[in-house]
Amino acid sequence: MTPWLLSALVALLPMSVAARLARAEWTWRHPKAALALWQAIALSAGLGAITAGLVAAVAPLDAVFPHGMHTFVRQLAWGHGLHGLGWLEFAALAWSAGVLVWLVAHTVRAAVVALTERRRQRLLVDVAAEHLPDFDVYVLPSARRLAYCVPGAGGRVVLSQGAIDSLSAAELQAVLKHERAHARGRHDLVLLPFVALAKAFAWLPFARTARQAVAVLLEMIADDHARDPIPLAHALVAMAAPAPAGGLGVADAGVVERVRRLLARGRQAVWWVSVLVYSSALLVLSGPVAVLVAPWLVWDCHPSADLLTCVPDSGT
Amino acid sequence: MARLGTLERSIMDALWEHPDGVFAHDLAAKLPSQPATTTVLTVLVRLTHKGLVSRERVGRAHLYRAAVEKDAVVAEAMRAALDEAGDLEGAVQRFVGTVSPEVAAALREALDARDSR
Repeated sequence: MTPWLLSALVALLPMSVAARLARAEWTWRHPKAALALWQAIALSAGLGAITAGLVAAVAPLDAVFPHGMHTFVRQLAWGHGLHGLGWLEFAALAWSAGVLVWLVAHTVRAAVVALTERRRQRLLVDVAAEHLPDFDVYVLPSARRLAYCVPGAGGRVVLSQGAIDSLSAAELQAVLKHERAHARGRHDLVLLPFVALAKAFAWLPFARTARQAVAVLLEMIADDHARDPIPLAHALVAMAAPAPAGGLGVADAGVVERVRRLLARGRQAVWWVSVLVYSSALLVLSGPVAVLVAPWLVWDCHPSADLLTCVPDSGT
Repeated sequence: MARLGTLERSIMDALWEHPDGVFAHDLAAKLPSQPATTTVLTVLVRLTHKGLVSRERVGRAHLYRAAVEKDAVVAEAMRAALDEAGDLEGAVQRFVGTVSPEVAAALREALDARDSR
């Protein structure tokens, strides 16, 4: 049991590099690869937390996890329920089920909240903003400088009149390209699990760091869709609204990094760094996936036999 | 989808122009796209549920009024993208958020330094 439990728990370890990963400058030059790594770390941690409980729960049934899992599934199928599990194992099983349900519930909730807010936002934009069909842009009559997109089906790119007045044509084009990249890439769906994670485990520093870092990476990925980075950098500086005086000034964490990377055009992505990062992502995921998949690959009887009916080799 | 949005907009514009209220069939006649009264009614009921329109029974029909000023709708459409926290954060993807005045000044300097090179 111990090696199986360890390999499930090892899946939680990559979470500890979150703070360093969020600060690492190479992620600015490889935002897509870095995003994949964040996704792998989060998914691996979730799977690891769930699998560790399963491994501990079926431990008394067999020393080897896949065999124990088979016995457990067979018991459930034959109606013997949780026979042979002590209260400790029962707690471990409840932990696994709890984590799974908690995560799914928060993801569903985050999706519902986002959908409701977006529907409202679309209505407000339709009613209050002028639609410019030539650019497919909605313009809000306000002097404040603002640009955003309402993501999802029937998404809208929204600019304020103040933004249009203060930006040059090239800068406007760059802003529009950035917002359309968000909409077309469905970045809202990429961010959703991380929003849910941050809500589900608000006490976990990893969840907050990941949510923040992924949001910044998505901005950088959208920035890369603007053909010329310099007008985009100008637009960013022009549009970054200073926080109102007296406010807490929760700064947009990404804007400094975004401007700096747009200005430093010479330092482009390095192919082997991307390869290395994608490989690390795969490696991080492989552990918990292997433990989860093992019961369905390792048979404790002849492979042709039905999993539920074959008799376990007791004693081996 | 875009057509429905246009209709909503022209209906709200008409209601804002007539603060005393309009009947649905008068409203349908006023609109340049000449929609059917039933279509206008459908949108009016939807907008009533969303809190943008209020109605009052006068005789056998409903008199419809805008329940909010246009400025308030614009402000709400802006706020979602300006709010820093809360459940609104999933609603929109904004171009850039707020920064402290020091950061704004530093960014401007970095940009100027590059341009003058």
